[in-house]
Amino acid sequence: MATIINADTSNGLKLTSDTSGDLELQSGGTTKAKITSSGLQNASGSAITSQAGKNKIINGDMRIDQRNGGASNTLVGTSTSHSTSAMMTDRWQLFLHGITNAQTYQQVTDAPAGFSHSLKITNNSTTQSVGAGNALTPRQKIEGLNTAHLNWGTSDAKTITISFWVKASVTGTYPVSISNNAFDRAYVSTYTVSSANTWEKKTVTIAGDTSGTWLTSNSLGINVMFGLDAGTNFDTTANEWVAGSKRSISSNVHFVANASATWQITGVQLEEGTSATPFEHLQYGQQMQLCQRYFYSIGGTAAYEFMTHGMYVGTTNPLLRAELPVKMRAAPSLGSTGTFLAKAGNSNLACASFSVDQSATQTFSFSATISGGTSTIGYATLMFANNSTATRLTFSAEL
Amino acid sequence: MKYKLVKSVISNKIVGVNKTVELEDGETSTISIPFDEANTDYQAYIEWTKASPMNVAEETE
Repeated sequence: MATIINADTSNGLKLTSDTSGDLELQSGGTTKAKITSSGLQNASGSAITSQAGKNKIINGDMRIDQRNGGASNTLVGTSTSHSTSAMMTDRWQLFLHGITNAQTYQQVTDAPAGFSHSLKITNNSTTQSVGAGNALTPRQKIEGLNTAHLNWGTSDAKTITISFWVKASVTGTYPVSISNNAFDRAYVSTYTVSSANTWEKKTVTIAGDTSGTWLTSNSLGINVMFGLDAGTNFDTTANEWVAGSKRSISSNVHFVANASATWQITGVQLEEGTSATPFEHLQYGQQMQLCQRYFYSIGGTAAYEFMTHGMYVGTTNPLLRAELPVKMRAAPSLGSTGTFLAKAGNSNLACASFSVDQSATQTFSFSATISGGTSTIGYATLMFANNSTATRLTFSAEL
Repeated sequence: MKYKLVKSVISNKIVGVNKTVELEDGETSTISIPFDEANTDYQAYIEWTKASPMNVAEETE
């Protein structure tokens, strides 16, 4: 029992008092919130806590696409035993094993109301029947530091709810699965696409795993996988925790067997609790910073964009330094696209052959080699794009 | 794919490895990987060295 304050649709305020010490807030006779000795609760008795940071999925609304900028890309395996992967929109990885049918992925602006972007995957115009050990899996790996509070692997493991919008050309049952870092614990749930090419909202609730090892460090904490196709080796029983690397059930849609099939997703949220709450719409800058813990890119906005600065430690070798905007998950790997120039006195000389020197999570120094001339040891230099907005330096600390 | 060790110009110690892969168009792409156990590219490099005694990174100059 509880003291009840009801906003009644006939009589206005209606008060029912008791001595329980609990209070219920009702709208039209339906309980919406409670205050008990445990604190503020929702109608089902779950604690109402701060909503900021509730979504453990980063870039669930697919707005950030640092690598591809909305361009389409293709991923394909070279044989039925070949594993490969690619990063799509930020934090979202496409993994395939033994899929020789090309898969195109792209950030697109087709999205349900309330969202501006989605991630779209398109099967090749030909079909493939996947083998027992083959799989096609869009996924996001969540860092253990962001899932430690769920207490998975203990008797206090907390329940999570995953909600998302999906649009697919092939109707039927699709899996959503969870695994740990070692891929020796798995839980496969499912959702059904009822209408082809129509945005539908789906919700999956998963009781936390009280067994297994779930990392709580800067390594992979929880692997969230949206299976599009998988062979029988990955099949298991739905809605229960099992040992091993599982991600599908036997009756799942086989995406790759459908020529030109499409699948889109956005509004992905993973939160603690037994029910889905509205999607957490972060400021764009906040979302970008969360993404930059795993990937950062300089360049792409000006033809001669200034990238880094440094000093010559050899007559043809500058040592350059990049500032990383947020502390990255790990010391990142350095990549580059396009061509670069570096100042050598008054000359602009080609600059290439980048090699890590001192890599940390917030600063990164690397050596390079200039060609076509020399400079003087100890002289300062600037490195910039060589008249191209395609030129970029990238720093990756993905899981 | 090939790996080549990287020596720091500051410490003169091996601090990383450059990984070069050949692309479909015949071009190559290189990433420079620091020796950080949390870096997944470094983890992949270690797995590569363990996969075969033939998998040895090129020495740096």
